[in-house]
Amino acid sequence: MRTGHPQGSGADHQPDRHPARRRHSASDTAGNGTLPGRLLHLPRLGIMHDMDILTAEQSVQSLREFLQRRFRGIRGALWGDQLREEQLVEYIYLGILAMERNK
Amino acid sequence: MSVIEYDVIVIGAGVSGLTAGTLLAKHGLNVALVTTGETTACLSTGCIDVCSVSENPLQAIVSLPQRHPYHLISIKNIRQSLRDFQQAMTDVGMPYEGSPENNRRVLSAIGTFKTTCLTPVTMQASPQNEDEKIHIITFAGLKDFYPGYIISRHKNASFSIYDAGVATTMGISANFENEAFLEAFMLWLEKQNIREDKIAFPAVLGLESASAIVKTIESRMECPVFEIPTIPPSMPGRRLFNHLKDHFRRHGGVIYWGWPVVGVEKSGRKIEAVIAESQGRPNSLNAKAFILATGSFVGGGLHANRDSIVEKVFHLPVFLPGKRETWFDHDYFSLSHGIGQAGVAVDSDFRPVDCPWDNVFACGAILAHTETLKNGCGHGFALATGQAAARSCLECIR
Repeated sequence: MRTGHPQGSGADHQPDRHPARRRHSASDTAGNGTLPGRLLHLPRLGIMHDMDILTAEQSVQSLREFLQRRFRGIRGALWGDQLREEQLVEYIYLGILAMERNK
Repeated sequence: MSVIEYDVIVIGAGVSGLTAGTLLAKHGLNVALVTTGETTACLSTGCIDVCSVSENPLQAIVSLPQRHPYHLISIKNIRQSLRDFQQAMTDVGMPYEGSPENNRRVLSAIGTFKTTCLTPVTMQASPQNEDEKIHIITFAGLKDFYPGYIISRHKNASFSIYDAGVATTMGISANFENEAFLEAFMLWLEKQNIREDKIAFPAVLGLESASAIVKTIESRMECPVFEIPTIPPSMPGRRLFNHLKDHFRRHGGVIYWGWPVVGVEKSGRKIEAVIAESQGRPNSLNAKAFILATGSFVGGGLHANRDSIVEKVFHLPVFLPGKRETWFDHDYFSLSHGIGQAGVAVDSDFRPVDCPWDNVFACGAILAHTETLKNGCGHGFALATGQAAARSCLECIR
């Protein structure tokens, strides 16, 4: 583990045991809320990569699976502001970041 | 209620609205633009995507489905709109590189390549394949950019971290505008002993003077330097918006910032005025013609109810992609969600189909059958339709 990182305690090597980190450990708990939560998903996975919890490949794959799973859950209920938000998130991941279905 | 008279009112300050407004102002018309606030252009990469489905954007346009609104404009006029844009950006000191005959690749913040047509000069040196040797500079605490994503796909890449004293995209960009900061940064950079062929940065190299800052770093380091577009807030998108806005104002255009349109005044087959609110007070903005450039769902031009989609300013008829079940595909990554077809259908003069008024025109992402993500036709489409709608508008009021 890299020391001195703002997110890392430097002492705990079992991420799932640490209550503060458990919130970040399962990809599907992150970003189920409002827009900022989902936009933060990429930085959050980036932090986990910096902490050597995930490799870059794993973190992108985790994000991909998260987006796909999450979308299947909400696609039946997309209208109003939720639809608008979904369009923005899609634009960011698939447009700006050019994320593909498979590597 | 205050009443103000114009020749043309443009609603929406995105790329298409500003382009339409500028063309009209250049022809000597009295043009005003009303907007609720910052546009989606500020979220974008700043790149001009014309049509990304094949190598040659203009040929790719020809191959689009017959219903695509690109087919309402001649290739000559599409070319002209891109040329006018490049000229305008060169004039304001933020040149755009590229040609309408060739798509190019821009490295994204996760190491993939985004296909686009024209890029800001600060992205000109973006690598075109995964083998190029690049050195990435990132900034301590910047949470929107992780070089690890890029390095996992580009084996010849490495990175260094600079502490800029701040950790946000906007903060670092503002620092780069400061000469003392830039000098201190250059002294640090020169000590990094970089051996790669190119130096990459997240897009934080300044607010408005990015092209000059990139040039300074290039000449001191004697190697090409390029920016990687980041997730919003995106500096290249903001620079594009600010330059287009200034360009419009320089030609005499007026912008009503933070004035949401809340109603319209109509008489027979004409719209007489739009009512825009300023700090809760209604103002009547009268004009001979109106251009609707309010964007799609994200921009706020369209709103989806449970089973219908409405256009928010004039309540124009909206093309629906089918029943709600067909709005979204099962696969998130399909890029072909039915909802991409939704929007206002227009005739060859860019007048909305079945519109009860003769002096309304529409352009940009609000148009039906555009499918922006699938066809990779973002700002390029906005430039071309913005000019086309403005030309029709010009004929209408003369």
